[in-house]
Amino acid sequence: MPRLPAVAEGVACVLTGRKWDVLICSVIAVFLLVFAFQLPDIKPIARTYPLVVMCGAAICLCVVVYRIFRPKGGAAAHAGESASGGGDAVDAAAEAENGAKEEKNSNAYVLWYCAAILAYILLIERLGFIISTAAFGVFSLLYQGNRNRAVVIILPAALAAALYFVFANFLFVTLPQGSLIQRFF
Amino acid sequence: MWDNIAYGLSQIFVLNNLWIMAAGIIAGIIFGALPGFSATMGCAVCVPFSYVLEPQQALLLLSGVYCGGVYAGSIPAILVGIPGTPASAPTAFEGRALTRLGRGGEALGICTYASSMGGFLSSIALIFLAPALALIAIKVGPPEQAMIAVFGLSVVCMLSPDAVFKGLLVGFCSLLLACIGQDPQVGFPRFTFGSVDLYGGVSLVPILIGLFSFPEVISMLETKDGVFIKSANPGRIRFKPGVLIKNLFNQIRSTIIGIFIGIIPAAGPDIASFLSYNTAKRASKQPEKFGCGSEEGIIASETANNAVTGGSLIPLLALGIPGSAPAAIFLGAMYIHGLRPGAALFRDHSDTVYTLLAGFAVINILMFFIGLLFCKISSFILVIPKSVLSTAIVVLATVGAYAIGKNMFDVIQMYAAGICGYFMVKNNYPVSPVALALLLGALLESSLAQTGVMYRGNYLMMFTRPLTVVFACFVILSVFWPVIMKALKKLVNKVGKSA
Repeated sequence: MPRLPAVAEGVACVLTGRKWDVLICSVIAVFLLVFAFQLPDIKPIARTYPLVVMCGAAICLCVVVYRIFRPKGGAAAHAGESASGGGDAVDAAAEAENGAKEEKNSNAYVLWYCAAILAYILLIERLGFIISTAAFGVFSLLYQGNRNRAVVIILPAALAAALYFVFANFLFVTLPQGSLIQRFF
Repeated sequence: MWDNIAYGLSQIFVLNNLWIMAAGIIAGIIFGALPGFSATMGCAVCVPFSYVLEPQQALLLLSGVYCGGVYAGSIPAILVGIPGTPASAPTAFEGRALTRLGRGGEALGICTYASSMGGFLSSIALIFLAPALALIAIKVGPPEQAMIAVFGLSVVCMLSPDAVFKGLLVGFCSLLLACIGQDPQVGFPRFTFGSVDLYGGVSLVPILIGLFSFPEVISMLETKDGVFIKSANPGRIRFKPGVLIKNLFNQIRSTIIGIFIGIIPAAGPDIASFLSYNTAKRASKQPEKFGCGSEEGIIASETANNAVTGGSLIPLLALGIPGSAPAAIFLGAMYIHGLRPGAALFRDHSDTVYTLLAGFAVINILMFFIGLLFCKISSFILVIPKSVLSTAIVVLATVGAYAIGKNMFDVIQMYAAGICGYFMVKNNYPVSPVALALLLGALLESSLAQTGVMYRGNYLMMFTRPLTVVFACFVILSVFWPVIMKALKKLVNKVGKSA
């Protein structure tokens, strides 16, 4: 298989090693572009300050991106060494693969939990605070491996009911009662 | 001023206020003692509970949470070696060693006393320095306000020398977020993307709740241990008066360090505790004892980290610049209750302010007794599964964010801020600039606009004002601080080598 040029290998190495930094910088770049496209619709007098701030952000972003990709002593050399083989390199590669698998599993675990939180937030207004909180509580405890039946059943319901009671009677905040529930009952 | 202090003291000893302070301290101790929670999170989650209270009661509640939260991080630090808050990390070194020697009760007693003493002395400084600084604040006009806001934001450079540009990037992006909504000059809606919910701008408190609580929840998910390590039984909680008298100078020095660090915007208790610990080690006659159970180390660390609490409120009340992350949340709560920091606060709301100032001193005294009680039962409370804690944080954060505006959009903002906060923390992007920029962004823009009107667009004229020049010097110092520190280190190494 033909070897990539050293520079490309270096960039690939950086992208793999610092993929989160690259991803974050990309997201920030998109964020700035989205705001930049809104600027023409804003009156000139109200536009100057955000424009200056955006320029400041863009300059800092360029510096951060430069620091991610700037050639360090190790990067290109590492790209060269990784192709040279040897027993230690094979062990290190296997370890890196296992680490990557574990990270993937951990990321998926966290991602599903975040999705569950989002679903909980979106369902509060439809199902009501008490039902959605109790359901989320049960899911959260079971998802994180808590198998104590008393805790899994009682804690979410008690927490939801207690918070509803405190907020309604002492803080005068009526939590959502659920549009779906109100429709059917 | 003495009349106001006397009035404040008279308000403190009203039964309702005493209950509220005690409730705040207990909530703060619970948040601070549980690893994964923090004083900042405690303040963020308790802000919605303060809405129905009178402004002075709300501030007393949050002060109790703040002081209790900072103190209580030392309890798991001593009993299980895991600091409840980063500020208690030095205490973990010494306290755990003492626990292994069977002197855990003594460590807890010393720590409780040192925290209360540091907090109490800083509250005395707060009583005298905040009004004095507020007098200077009378001379502050739009140019000075703009420079103060820039200084507050530039401190981010001083605090993250290894990630200066990341900190600046976060600061600028947060300033851009603060532009969402109506501009302060002509009320033109900006960056609302057609959404009515964004006309009023982003919601500060829900964002702070998400930023400071979600990263901890997700970190708990990533470490899948079921239950915390069972904590050691502390035994009898006590402290020897001789140890405390021997460390009197240590306490005074640590208090001064804590107050000074507290005054610096965005510098928090963690910096103060490490700085004080290292200073005590260098000054100690028995430095070899550090790391093996040194009472000096615990006293230095705990006195300083609680002294930050009073110190951080000094620039907050006088200039509107929060001295720490919990103080930033404090400021958000003040805005919600219609209190604007500055000279006008001391003039128009002197009853509220002096009740807070007097209350701060009493809170630290109460914290001593409540803290000692809590130490006795702490070994039971620390054994709580992470699954329960993370579930409770998510639910509390959600309901807290909703309660502010009774609007699910605030909860969405909280969630989005939480996810962003997690990625920021994981990739070494500082989170403090977000809070500062959202708080100071509006002030910066409006004061720059007013300055432009004052000097007809010639912004350089603002540097003819002495206070503006003073703050500009602070800005330059904070921006170039990492460079200065590097150069100093090189010089010291060079001198050391040549010697």
